[in-house]
Amino acid sequence: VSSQSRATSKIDLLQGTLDALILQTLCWGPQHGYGIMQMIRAQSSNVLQVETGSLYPALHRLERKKWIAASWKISDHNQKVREYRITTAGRKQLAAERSRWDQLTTAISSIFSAPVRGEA
Amino acid sequence: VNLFWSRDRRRRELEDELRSHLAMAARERVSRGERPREAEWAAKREFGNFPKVSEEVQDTWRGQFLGRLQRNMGDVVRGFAGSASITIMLAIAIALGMGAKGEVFPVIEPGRLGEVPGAADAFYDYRVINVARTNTAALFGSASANPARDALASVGSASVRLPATSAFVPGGVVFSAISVGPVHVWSTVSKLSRTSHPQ
Repeated sequence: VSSQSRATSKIDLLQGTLDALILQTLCWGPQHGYGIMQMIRAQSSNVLQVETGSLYPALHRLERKKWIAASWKISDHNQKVREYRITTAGRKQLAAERSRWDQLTTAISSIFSAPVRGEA
Repeated sequence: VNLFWSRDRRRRELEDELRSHLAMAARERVSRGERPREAEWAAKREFGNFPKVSEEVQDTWRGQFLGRLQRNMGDVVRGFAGSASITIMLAIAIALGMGAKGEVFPVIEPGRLGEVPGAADAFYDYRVINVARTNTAALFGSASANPARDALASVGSASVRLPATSAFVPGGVVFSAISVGPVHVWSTVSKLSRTSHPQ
C-alpha cells in the first residue's frame, strides 16, 4: 500500500492490515479486485493506493482461508469479472482485527499524548 | 493429475481476472476523456508488471498445493494400511511388472515376429513415434543396449535402424501391453514409419 500524495513515499502497513481493509471493503457489498482497489483509495481520500502486486495475492490468500468467496459474474459492460464477497468466517475475522486495531491505536495514542518530561 | 489440471485451470482464470482488471482501468480512463490507446497504456503502467503479479499470486497457491498433495498421500497410505489384501496384490503386481518388462520388449525386437526371405543383410530406417505409453518399469530404470528397446523406451519419437528381416508393417501401429490381475502395468502404443529403402 502506498501513499499517493508523494509518489516516492510509501506507507508500510502492519501485517494483516491490508487483509482487514479488504474485508471491510467487502462488508459494503461484493466487489471485484479493481473495485476494491478504487474503494480503498476513495475511502482513504486518495491517501492509500493498494498495488496490484499486494492486492491480488491478498485476495487469493483470504479466499484460501475462506474469509472471502469468489465467483465469476458478467459486468454491466458485458465483461467476465471475478467478484469477491465476504463470508461469515470473514466477518468474524474482521471483528477480531478491528478489536486488535482499536487496542493498538489506543495504545499508540496514549504514548503520543503522554506529556514530554520537562514540558509540564 | 487432478491437482495439476486444477492448477492449470486456476492459472488461466487468474490471467482472465488480471486482464479484466486492466480492461476496467482502461475503460474508466476513456470515460474520463482519455483516448482509448493512451488509456490502455496508462492502465498497463498503473497495473505494474503483469507476469510478476501473476507469479506472486501463484506463490500463495504453492503452500496450498503442497498441503493438498501431502493430504492425498496420507489418504493413500491410510488406504493401504486399512486393506492388506489390496496392498499385497499391488506389491505382487509391481514385482511381476519389473520381471515382465523384459518379456514385453522383445515383441518388437528384430527378427522375432517373422523374417522376410532374401533380405538378411539389408536394413531399413524407421521412425518410431510413441503415441502413448505407461510403464511402471520407468520407476526402476531400464537398461538396454537394444536400439529398438531404447527407441520405444523414450516417449516421443526416435529413429532406429533395424534389419529388413524385421516384420514391421510400415505406417502400422504396434500396441504392446501387459496386465497383471486388475492392475495395468505396462503399455505402449507406437507408430512405425519406414524412412529409407534397404541399404
